[in-house]
Amino acid sequence: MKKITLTLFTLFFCMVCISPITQAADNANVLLAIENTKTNLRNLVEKSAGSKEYQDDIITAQNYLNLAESEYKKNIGILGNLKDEAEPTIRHYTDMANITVAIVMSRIEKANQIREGEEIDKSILKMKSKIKVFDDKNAEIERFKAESGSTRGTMDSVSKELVALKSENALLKKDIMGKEKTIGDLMGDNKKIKDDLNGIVAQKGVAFVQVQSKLASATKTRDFLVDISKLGQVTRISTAGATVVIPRNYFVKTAKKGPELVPGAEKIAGDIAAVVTKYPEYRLDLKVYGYGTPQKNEDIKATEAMAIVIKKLLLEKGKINASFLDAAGAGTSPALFPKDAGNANRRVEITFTYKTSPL
Amino acid sequence: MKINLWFSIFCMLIFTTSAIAGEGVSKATIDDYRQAKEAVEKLAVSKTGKYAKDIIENTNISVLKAQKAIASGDETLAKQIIEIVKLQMTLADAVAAEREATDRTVVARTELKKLEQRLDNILDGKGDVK
Repeated sequence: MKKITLTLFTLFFCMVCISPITQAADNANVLLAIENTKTNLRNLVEKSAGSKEYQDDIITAQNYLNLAESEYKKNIGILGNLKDEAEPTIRHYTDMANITVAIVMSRIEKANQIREGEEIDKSILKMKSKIKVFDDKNAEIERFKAESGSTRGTMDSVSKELVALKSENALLKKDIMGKEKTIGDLMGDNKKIKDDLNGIVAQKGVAFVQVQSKLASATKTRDFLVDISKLGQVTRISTAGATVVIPRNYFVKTAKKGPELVPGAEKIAGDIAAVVTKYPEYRLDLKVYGYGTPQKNEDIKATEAMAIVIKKLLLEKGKINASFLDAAGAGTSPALFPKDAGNANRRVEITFTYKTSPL
Repeated sequence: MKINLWFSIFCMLIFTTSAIAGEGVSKATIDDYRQAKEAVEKLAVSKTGKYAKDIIENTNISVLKAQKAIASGDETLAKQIIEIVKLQMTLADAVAAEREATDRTVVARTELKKLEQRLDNILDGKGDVK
């Protein structure tokens, strides 16, 4: 019995005594854990910078720490040793406090990261905005380059066209210069021709005028001769004019008192006066011719008297300037007609003489 | 001697009582443990498990500790550890969120550096190398 009792006691003693050895509270480690927790909590408080967002969690951690410290104080023995059974609880509280601190630290860090991320996002936006400016510029430059390329192509085409046009222009200029020279030469020739022509025209003009004048004169002479011929008398034409031979008895007869106008004399005088009036460029020479006997009726004196009578009649009938009408008696001048023509040689000759000879 | 015998028997009873106390863990604690364990398992395959793998591993260790505590019938310890497990899951979420944010920041910083380099190249006349 004694042995059994001793054995049981020994067994119990071992159980009681060995157990504290294996599970003996490590006072220093527990204190260290508490101190570490305190440090962690202090760091957390500093990091939270008084933010209300984390205050509840910080208080919770602080409470866990307080519980740990309280548990520690409660379980300190007389000798200053911590009771074994207290350590898990204390460590539980410190663990809870530390995990709580870690949670809050993580949340703070997350907030920091988010804040930093937002800042970075802002910076990214700014950076992208700056780069976009260059991208836009680059795009614009590319567009300009493309346009420039297109424009360059057009410019090349235009340049080629310009070169061709210049070449054509040079040819045209050369051509024009040649033509201008030709024109100049032609103008010179033309001027010369004009001058020649003007000379010719001038010469021709003079000749024409002369011819015209001559033609007019000839025409008038012809008309004059026609009108003379209409008198129905013998007419003798010469270069100086024309002479109409009229029997003397058509004008006058010899009376006792001298020569007298016969009937019909006025008509013949009127016809002659009409011719003189129509052709004022002619002057008249009137000569009365005698023939045969009696001599006194045919001599110069007698024929002179007859000429005066006839002149007077002509002056009355026509608008004849007396200075252009000469009258004279020729006496018995050589006969114009043969002797057997008899009284035909008794005649009046009226010579129309051109004042400046037209013939 | 009798006194010694009875004392020894008393001590043995106390010891054995405390030893078989594990069978006395409440159903509520066990349910709490199971819920915590399932939550940890879900967390492990989620984005949190990807970003906070180390924390999840520690949490799993705590789950094992809780299991042991339950197995040993130590309800108090079991409750404490389950409480730790829950807090560790919260920590895992927080750390995962922090690391995800950090990753994003790193990506953003990298992009910013590239953009800065691009801008520097542009400003230095080296052209825009994307």
